[in-house]
Amino acid sequence: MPNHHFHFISIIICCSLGILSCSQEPKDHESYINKELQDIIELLDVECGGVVHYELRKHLEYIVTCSTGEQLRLHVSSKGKVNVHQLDE
Amino acid sequence: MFTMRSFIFTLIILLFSCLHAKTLDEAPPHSACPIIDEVIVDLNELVDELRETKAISVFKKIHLKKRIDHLLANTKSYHEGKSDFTLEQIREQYHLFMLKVTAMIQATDAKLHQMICDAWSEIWKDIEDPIKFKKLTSNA
Repeated sequence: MPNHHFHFISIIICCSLGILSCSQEPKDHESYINKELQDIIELLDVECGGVVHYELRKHLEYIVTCSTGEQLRLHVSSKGKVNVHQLDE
Repeated sequence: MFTMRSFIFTLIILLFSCLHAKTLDEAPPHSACPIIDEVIVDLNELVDELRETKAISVFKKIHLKKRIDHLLANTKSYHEGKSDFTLEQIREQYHLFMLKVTAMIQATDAKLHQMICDAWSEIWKDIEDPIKFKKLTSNA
């Protein structure tokens, strides 16, 4: 691989790591939980857009309202798996 | 007399209901964690396991490291009486962190998933207790 290609890739990696490490943590509790719920929903490949509202229904069970208007239920199954379902399912 | 007796009886029932509700709230996250040979005993071991697993990409590992640092910083401030967060809020942040880790690995690293399932409640006990927390962070 030519040297300048190697330098270019290194710069891209460093910039990405820099951006990742400098990204701001949410300051208040609600924003923090909101962001975490959004991340979990994305990890489980469920379409939501953004979380506009959430409600803790019981221990480890949330009802989330998405920017798309859908309501999702996020909970832990009896086998310990995190699940997200549309509320009307 | 009967009314008084009924009132006391109702009061006792209510008290037991409250105690039961508290117990449910503090119950382990899932009732059926599989039995495993290897266990995670504290947060430091969880960090080691997360570092080692191939189920999580480098970028996600950096993100999780930041989340752990954030959680530990909030907890440290709380134990020092300087935090803006309550213990209940920090506990919720901890649960969300564990939910996120579980969502990341549940389909790809069954062994780590079982270990996290098993250690979920125990790790929180170390975080909420100021003495155990100090010991935990000094060993990190």
